[in-house]
Amino acid sequence: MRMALGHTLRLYFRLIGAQLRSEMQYRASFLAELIGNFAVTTLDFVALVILLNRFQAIGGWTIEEIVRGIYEGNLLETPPLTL
Amino acid sequence: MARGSREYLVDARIYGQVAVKSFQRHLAYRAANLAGIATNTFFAAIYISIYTALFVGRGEVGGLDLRDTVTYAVITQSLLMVMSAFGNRELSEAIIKGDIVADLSRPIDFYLFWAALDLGRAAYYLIFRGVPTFLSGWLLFRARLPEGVTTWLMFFVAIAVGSVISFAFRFIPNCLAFWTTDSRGINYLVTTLIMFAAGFIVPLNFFPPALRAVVEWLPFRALAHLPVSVYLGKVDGAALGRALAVELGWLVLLVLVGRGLLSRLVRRLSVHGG
Repeated sequence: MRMALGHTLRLYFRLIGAQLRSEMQYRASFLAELIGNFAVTTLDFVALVILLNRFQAIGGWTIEEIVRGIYEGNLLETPPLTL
Repeated sequence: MARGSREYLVDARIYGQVAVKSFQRHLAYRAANLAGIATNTFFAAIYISIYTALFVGRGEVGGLDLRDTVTYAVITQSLLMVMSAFGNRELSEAIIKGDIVADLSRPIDFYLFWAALDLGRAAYYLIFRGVPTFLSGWLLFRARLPEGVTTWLMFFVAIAVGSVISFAFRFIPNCLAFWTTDSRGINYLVTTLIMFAAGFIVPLNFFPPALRAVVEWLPFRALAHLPVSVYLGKVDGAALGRALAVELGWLVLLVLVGRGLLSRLVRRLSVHGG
């Protein structure tokens, strides 16, 4: 069982390596995808900021509480949702 | 070379046929389309849940009330595939695989050939994806209906303009695949830009005024925000004329850049060493 897991993990990392090498063959495209990925994650957050800037709160959560609760994963300090 | 009007008529018929064939080719994927309708409706439900929570205790925000915003979500989900918001790698794949060599050797205009292919695709998605998604959204979430026949008409004009702008814009990054030899990365960037700047993710009405002013001058608005605003009766008359004039200006620029890039590509292209 342990050996099988080790084997699977090694295979997994090898495949990740192969994928990375294959993507590195196309430098410009890889760079564009990297920027794109970064932009998507950022724009998701920008969308939240834009909405909360207009509406102040969703279900009793302000943007600060969304950051604390979802982006930092600290649900203990956030107020209960009031939906 | 001077050409008679009859030859242009023959040309128009050829591109019409190309568009029809492209339309018919998409008809083959029925199950995928059904799954797509379900997905689009599901995402409309998610957006609508969020807006319902946001609008608690509020009347109008940025010129939209809750029911307007629900309608916004339903229409944008119906238009996602019509406008190719997720990009379309068909052209760049053809460039990378070398299939464009066959397309280039045809005695027709390469740019118009691909435009016809893309508009045939858009027409398919309008009828077989847009209409069912809209109907299910209308029944499930009580989306608004336009005020009258003129509004319906202007709405379809706005959709047509958006489809053409979408093609003319995407042609440019697709052509870049000739130099980058892979299209995944660029397509990813393009998708992000279109989704955000067209108003597919957040209605442009909710943007801060300065940012809204910027995105309303960009061409992408024609893909989502403009058709929805026309549908809701928020943009009409002189304001609509102005918006369409801006889009027309962008269209000229996008076509010029796209064609310029294409002629560079063709000059650089060598087939069998010749």
